[in-house]
Amino acid sequence: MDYKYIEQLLERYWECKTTPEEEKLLQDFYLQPHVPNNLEKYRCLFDYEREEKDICLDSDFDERILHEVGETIVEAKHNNLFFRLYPIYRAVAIVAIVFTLGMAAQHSFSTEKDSSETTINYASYKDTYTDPQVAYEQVASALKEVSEGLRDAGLQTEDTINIKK
Amino acid sequence: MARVLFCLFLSAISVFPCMAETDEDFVGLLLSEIKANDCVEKLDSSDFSCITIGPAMVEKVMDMMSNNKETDKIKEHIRKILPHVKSLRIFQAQQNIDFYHSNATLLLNKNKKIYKPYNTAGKDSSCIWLRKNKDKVIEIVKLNKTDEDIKVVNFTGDMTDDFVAELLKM
Repeated sequence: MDYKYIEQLLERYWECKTTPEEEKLLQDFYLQPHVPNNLEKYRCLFDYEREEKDICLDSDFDERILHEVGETIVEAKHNNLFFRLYPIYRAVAIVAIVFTLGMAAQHSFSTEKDSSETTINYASYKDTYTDPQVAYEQVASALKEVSEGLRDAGLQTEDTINIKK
Repeated sequence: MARVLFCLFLSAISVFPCMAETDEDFVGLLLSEIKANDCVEKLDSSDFSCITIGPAMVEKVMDMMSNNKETDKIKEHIRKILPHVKSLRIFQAQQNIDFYHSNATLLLNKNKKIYKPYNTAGKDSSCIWLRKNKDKVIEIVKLNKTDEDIKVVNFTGDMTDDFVAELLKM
């Protein structure tokens, strides 16, 4: 038998010029149990290629490698609408708080107080007198003074203090 | 991030009690102003006196009057007026009169949004200022200055037209 074609294929194989079909031919040739002695020395190469081709990664390969490295496997979660809008809620909350602080600061530092919304704090008052009679005399005297003052200001008995002025 | 938001929230809440803080009457403001100026002017606190008759004492006076059967014209008017009065404070000084007078007038002018002058028409020595709450007068301040002393009479309460009508009859 003439193995010249096989030898030619081998020459092309060493020069990396063989096509996949030609390599298949060489593989099939070396599947035979008996080959010429001058070609027997190349059997181990083609047997190695055939055996290594069957080896592939296990299904748990990723897990084992990550375990060795120390990383945990993260699985993607499907977020509902609330979690997707969470950054917007956070931004709105911050804006609301800053706005409230700004309004409160503006109100506190404003010199133009609106007296219609304030009440007088009587808790800090300490009565000067303990005797109601003495207090009455002071009240009567003060009321008379204010009455004279209002009359001096031109207020007549029939007039009102014109509260809506 | 949660901590920052929580701190901001607490700051916002802490402002509201300050906003809700109640006010002082005019004499209270004047005393605060004098105290603030005290370190500058080195005034003696015995220069002035301040008489305070608070709501509790006014109630006692009204009780005393209702138990007292004696009546005269003045007492009748006061009996009708007192339910409208919550407090009376009288500030009086016989020394450094000009200083206290200028403090008082400056304070009144500074708080023009609160205290409105009532028909003073150029009378610097004696004037009346009113503080209103919507349709009611809640404070009357009478400022009187003479050569001998300065006196600030400060009523607070619920002073309607009826109150004024009775007051003018005194």
